[in-house]
Amino acid sequence: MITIKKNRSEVKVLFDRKEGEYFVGRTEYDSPEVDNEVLVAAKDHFVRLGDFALVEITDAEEYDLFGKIII
Amino acid sequence: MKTKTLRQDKVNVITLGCSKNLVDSENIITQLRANDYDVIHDSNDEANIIIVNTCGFIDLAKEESINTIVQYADIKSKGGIDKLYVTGCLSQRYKDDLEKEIPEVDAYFGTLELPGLLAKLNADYKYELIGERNITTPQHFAYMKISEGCNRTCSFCAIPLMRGKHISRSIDSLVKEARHFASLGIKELVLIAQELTYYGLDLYKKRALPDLLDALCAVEGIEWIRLHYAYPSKFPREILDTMAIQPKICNYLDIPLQHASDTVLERMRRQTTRQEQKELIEYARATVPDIAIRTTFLVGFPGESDEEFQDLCDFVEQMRFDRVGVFQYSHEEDTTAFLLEDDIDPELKAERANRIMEIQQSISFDHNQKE
Repeated sequence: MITIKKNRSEVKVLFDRKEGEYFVGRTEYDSPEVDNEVLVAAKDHFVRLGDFALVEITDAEEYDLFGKIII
Repeated sequence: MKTKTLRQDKVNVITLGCSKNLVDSENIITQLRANDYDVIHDSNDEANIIIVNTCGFIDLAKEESINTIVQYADIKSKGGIDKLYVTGCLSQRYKDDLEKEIPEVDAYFGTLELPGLLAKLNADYKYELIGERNITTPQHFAYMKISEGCNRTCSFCAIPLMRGKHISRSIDSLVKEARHFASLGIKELVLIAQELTYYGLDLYKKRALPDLLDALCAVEGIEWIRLHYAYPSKFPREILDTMAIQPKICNYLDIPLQHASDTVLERMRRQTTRQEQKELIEYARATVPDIAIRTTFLVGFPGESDEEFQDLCDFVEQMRFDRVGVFQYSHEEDTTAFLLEDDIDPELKAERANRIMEIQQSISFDHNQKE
């Protein structure tokens, strides 16, 4: 069995929606509607809703993470 | 020449409560659309037929459902809509009372009476549509209810009264549904049930969730599969082995523990202990090192002493869960806990719920800082 500890500063994010100035998505560690979200500024990046992207986490609050898109 | 009659009717389906209820609404919508109905969901747009899919879980949820029914009953008596139907858990549990109290409703249905509801609308129940559900969530994830009902006997819980005994859907039918979803561009399946770990016991005479997961992972296009509501007692640990091996299964588990004091767990009839719960969480973390664990707790259960509550606080501090939800005990008739005295003051229940969330908030903050 191979388990590689993920580097959590770079996370795979699935983007659910656009809200105001942010694209809002989730990592595999977060379920829709109940868990944390990852916010990416829409002025810096464009993502298609329903797409995955690799995101570098730059800032964190209790329940939300902020990041920028790497790929 | 064939002429097609165009229906003027427009149906608005209103969903209250949990994701399991949402799946039921999606089935209603699918069936009605296949019968040429124009259907909208949770919409403010005008419709002449309203179907309220209710929740009957705890007091607050029941109140919301009743208020919604009354609101549409008023609109109906003023001539704003033609027909009002009520279905779902509240209706299953309190049909007789509701018929008396809110007679403006044209008909009430239980949770397993979809064919009856469709018959009222002159629509046929189409068996061939099973697995072709219209979803109401964003286009890239969908809830999949893998079984209905629950055979557990937790003393506080009214769900078996509303949803009946546990019945699994077959692996074949779920894989067919997953393929259909993948063809629509859906990438994430959120597996739900009242209790995931029982999956297969009725159909396959064994706990078959790992088999189902292997079959779903083989569906091309599905990239994430997420597990919600796995009970801790007699938890089949192979699920975690499958999670560790299969990259498509999110390293995420929602495991409602409800409490951590042995005496409260016993009164709740949870068939597990603090130590067993602790060992299970430790096993999960050892097997899937980056797993995110979500749990929910129930505070203010009858007789919950300061000491018992402190046991729970210590457990939350010690276990450092990734996500925590808290419910305040609601005294539900016809449950076995209803025989106990609901003796915790509502203010104290709220205070205890806040206390747990405060403990968790600082843990969540630490977790996020590490990410």
